[in-house]
Amino acid sequence: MTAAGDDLVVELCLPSDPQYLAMVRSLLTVFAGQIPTLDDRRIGDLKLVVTELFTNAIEANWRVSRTDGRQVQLRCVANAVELVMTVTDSGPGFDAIRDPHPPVEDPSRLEFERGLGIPLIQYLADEVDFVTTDSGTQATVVLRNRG
Amino acid sequence: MDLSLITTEADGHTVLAVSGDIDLSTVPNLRARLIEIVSSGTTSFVIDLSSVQFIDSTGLGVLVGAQRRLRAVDGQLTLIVPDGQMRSLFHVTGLDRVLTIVDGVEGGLT
Repeated sequence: MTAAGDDLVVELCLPSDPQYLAMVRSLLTVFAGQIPTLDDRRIGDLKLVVTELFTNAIEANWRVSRTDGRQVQLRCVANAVELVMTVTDSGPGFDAIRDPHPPVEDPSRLEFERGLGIPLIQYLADEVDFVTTDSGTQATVVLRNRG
Repeated sequence: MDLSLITTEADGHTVLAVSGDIDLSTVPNLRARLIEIVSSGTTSFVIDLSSVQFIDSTGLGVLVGAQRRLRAVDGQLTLIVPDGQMRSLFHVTGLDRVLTIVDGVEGGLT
């Protein structure tokens, strides 16, 4: 964890292993507590958002290989105004715009266990951006306190 | 955090009390237990999430799967989810429209 001007920065590079998810949540909780950017409720939102992004990144890497050492990178920058988090994988990418699942009020939605993560991220974050290239996907979210 | 799964029988219901964090690292164990319970012939199934500290979309998805499997055998799934930040996730995702959710055991098991 480093300080750059008024910003506090944390960077991680972790294996594509779900066993690290709890540690990432704990680390970001401590990180967010260093700057009064987010209140307790928004820190709860942050824990969910980072878990969703990390999970997406792990599964994206797994689609290429589970054994070739692909990693997930996380960078988080916080100041008194906002927290900006970037999670990067080296998977094949995905279409974050086109949700292939039926709407939740459709009974056929029960046929699908997946597809809830992106809507949650979009609801909880103030800004969301996914950029997919040949080398992977970079997801960037911004969280601010809500009145 | 490890996931704790404790199954009991109470008043004709099978109750699974879950505690800990539900995410990609613990979801396989939860899914396996849910399939095991539904396969045992239970038709009135209660999942108590009162002691869950964290749940993500993979956890919500597994609950959707349990509902689907129970419906296939004309069963009933009830979730105990205290009001609060976790409860709001069911509302945000719309799952409160397809899942039966109560505040506690006294909140509506029949």
